[in-house]
Amino acid sequence: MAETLVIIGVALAKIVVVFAALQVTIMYLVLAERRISAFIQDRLGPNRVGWEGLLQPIADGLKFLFKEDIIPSRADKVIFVIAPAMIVLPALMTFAVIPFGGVLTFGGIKIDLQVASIDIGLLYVLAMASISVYGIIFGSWASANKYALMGGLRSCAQMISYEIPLGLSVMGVLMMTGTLKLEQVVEAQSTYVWGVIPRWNIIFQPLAFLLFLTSAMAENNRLPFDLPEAEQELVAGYHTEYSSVKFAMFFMAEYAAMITSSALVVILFLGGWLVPGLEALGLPQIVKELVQMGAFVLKVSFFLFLYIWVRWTFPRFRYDQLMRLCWKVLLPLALANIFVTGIVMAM
Amino acid sequence: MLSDYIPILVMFVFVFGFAAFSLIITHIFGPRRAGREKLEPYESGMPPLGETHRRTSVKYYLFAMFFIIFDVEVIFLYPWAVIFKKYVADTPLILMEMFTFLIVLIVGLVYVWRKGGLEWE
Amino acid sequence: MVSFYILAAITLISSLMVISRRNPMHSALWLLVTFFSLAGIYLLLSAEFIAAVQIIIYAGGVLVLYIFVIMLVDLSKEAALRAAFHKPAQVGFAALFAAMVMAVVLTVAKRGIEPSRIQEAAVNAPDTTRAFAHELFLTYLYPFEIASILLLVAMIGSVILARRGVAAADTVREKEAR
Repeated sequence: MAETLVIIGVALAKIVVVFAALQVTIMYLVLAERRISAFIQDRLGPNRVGWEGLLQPIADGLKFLFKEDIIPSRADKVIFVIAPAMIVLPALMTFAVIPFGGVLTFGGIKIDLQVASIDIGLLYVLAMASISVYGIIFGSWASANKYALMGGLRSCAQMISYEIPLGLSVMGVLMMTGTLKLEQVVEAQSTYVWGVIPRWNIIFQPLAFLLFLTSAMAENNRLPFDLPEAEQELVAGYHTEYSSVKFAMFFMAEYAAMITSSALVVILFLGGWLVPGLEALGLPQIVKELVQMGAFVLKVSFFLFLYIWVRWTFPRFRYDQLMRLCWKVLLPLALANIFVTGIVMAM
Repeated sequence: MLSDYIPILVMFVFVFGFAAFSLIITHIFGPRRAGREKLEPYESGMPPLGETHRRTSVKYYLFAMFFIIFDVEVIFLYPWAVIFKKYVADTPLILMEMFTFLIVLIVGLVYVWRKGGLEWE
Repeated sequence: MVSFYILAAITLISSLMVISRRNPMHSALWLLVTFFSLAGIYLLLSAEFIAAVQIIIYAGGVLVLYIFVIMLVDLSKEAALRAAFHKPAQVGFAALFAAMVMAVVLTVAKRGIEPSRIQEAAVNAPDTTRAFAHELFLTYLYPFEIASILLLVAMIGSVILARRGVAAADTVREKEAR
């Protein structure tokens, strides 16, 4: 019993830290997106609240809080209210298994830099991704708005379709590392090829990396795959009828999913928190761990920037093009990747 | 180990509490000014037209069906991929096992493709 | 043990809600709860991989299909639907099928299930996913390969059904146009 209480206590402490870090990242990611998009479009973006607009996220949060919470008269009230919770839950729960560093030794106590280390880590992440459609589909249905429903349906079909190449593209990595534990996937990448090149999976699985990145972008409904919220045709898509904090929750889930998928790309293909050549420096253990955590954050930030960059650079796909890309290009390529990896490894 | 899942349960309770809290505070803080037009479905300012819950296209059903089939295939691939490295040196048969399975499904994919089932007209 | 009873109670209550709700979308939502509590029970049995499969396939796939079907069917014509699904032969068949399933469940429950012998390789596996893989790919290989045929049949069948559905809808539309 006492042991269980210790586990709960340690878990709670980690969760509070991870959750706070996540919320801050989401807030500033929104600001970053607005500033970067402004830069790409040659305008200024929000720069009035605080120095260079750094307090803008707080102002936005307060504004969400004091807006009217509208529940349309034709809506299915119960489902309409719980749908934002249904989308936030899986989006934030995914972080439980994401390792953001190795093991921190602090005064004789070892702390895993991960909330929960489970044997089926990767499957857990994919399971959470697969149930994130429900917030969208129930929310759009309960809104009783036909544009919201169309957006929700499109989004749902798109998300389930892109889950297939997403799942297939990690198979090459799994075949090479032989584990579903995410921290072990990272550790498997810690050696070197010919003593110099880090054994990151991107070197052996470049096609899988591209497939995974593309599918993850579509899975998160980001442009150029943001058809569910194509504002020219569908008002605002599945969250048309949502306002105040409920709308903010849909937004939060989208950005949380962006962070998760960036973290996953880094863990699966870019060596997670590993920094090539760091062992050779002979730093104290705690400094090394902190440097590695910093490296992880940096790598994830790069992919977050890539997400934003892509969004403001490419035009949107048409829905039939989107489905064709998934089923006729990504799926056969992902299958071919498994065949090639299998044959090469058997030889 | 079951105790590995305790942190996940704690996380669930925590996130659930956060979601419930957010939904409640927006109820408390937000102003409320009811109006009949305001509570109508929003269709860019026009009066709402037609039924809301119209029948959807059969294509959604079709793609959901393809999804389940390939999802089952993917789920079988995970355990295979996990033990693949360990066995491939001694029993290359393990490669053929999965290739047979995949080829049968690829035949299905080619059939669906040729029949135009993957087109979203 | 306590956690099992809690999960079992949630499973039973939510599945009762599934069949008693008038609104099919509410049923779907309760079904999601059922799937999750079932996954929890698998987890209690240390079948982590099966729990993940339960969520990914059932909660993430099958239920989406159900929802699409609910939206495909025109629920405003409830009377017509009732007429279509309440034919004596269909009701009889459904009752027979339900009775057969119940008979199997009751027999198994009375006798108790013999835990099947687990291979040595599986026992030595470091986690349940590997144990499952050993059993599937080394012991039960043929059923696994046959499963691919089953999936192939499902794929072809759904294309044929959907095409027939589209063709029927086209003829209806033509008739209406005239």
